[in-house]
Amino acid sequence: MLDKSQQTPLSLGILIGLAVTLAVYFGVVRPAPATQAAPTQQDGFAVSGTACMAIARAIETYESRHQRRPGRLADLVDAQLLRASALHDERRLADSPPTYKKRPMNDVVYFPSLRRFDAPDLILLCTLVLREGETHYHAVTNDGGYRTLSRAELITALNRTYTAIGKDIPWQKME
Amino acid sequence: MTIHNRTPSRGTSLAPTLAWLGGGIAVGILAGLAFIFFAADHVLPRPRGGDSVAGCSEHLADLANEVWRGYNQGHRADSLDDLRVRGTAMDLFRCPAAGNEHGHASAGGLATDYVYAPGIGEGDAIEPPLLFELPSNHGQTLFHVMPRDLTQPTEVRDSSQIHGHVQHLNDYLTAQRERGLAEKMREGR
Repeated sequence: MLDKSQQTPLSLGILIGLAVTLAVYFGVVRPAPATQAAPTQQDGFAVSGTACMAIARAIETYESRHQRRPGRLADLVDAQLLRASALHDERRLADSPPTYKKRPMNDVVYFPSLRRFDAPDLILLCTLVLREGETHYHAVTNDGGYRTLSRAELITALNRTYTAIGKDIPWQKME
Repeated sequence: MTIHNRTPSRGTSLAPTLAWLGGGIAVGILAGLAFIFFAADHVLPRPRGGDSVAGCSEHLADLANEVWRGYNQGHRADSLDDLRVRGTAMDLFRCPAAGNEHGHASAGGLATDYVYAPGIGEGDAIEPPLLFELPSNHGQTLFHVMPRDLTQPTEVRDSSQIHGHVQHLNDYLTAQRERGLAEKMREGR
């Protein structure tokens, strides 16, 4: 058995060794996972729910005028039913106006192939990125209704939409 | 007068003390390493970072291979549910690295972390994604798409490009569907 003069430095040494090893591991090798969504520069750009509804109204107006839906969302801008800024996250415009022209891609996706006769709950318009502080995605369904969807709900709705579109596409065997 | 001089005795006891301390540190380091290698992966929660999402990329490729295998056998999967019916293992539909972040499927839908776009076939452009996953959560907008030639899943981090990839797919499918609907009308169906 060890006497007290041996036990004390041995115990102290074990504690120091453990502490140093675990501190290096958790501090450097394995940073602690984020416990909550912290707004960062990587936070996604997406249009707001209000913008989604404005785009949906413009699509309806376009459809009533032309008896068909627009082939792309830019057609709504060309028809002066919508301002171009409505297709982009307002923070993108506020934060980086000089680079805005280099990023013409909309911050929302649109399914131009959907027709009125398709199921009403298919996705006509949606965001794919969560905005800062939001937990649900924005979507407009084929009947023009605005909805917020959880991640799982959006994935299910998108799969249903693509399945509906895909069944009308003649398939060719891939090599 | 008595002079107390304890220096010689302290000098002789310091060396073994340091030796025990050093030995203890070595044992502590070994114990810490043992914990890291044998316990950390099982006891501690998985980190939600790049490594975690990279796991989804490999998984996406596995699922895409299942789709591809069906194509080569002359069966196009019209939906991911078709793959399930044909016997694809259920664990291929969920990304194991995503943890609980992706939640559960809504009622009536297959529990999956991926979106499948049927209708892309031979002769089609390579860029429209055959399969993709939604970007991860706030502060981590990594997005994987699998092109139809099943090379490697492409990583996209810029959110405008994420929307762009899917919009490109939608525009592409629009033209394909128009063609399909026109054919059906010609055939009187």
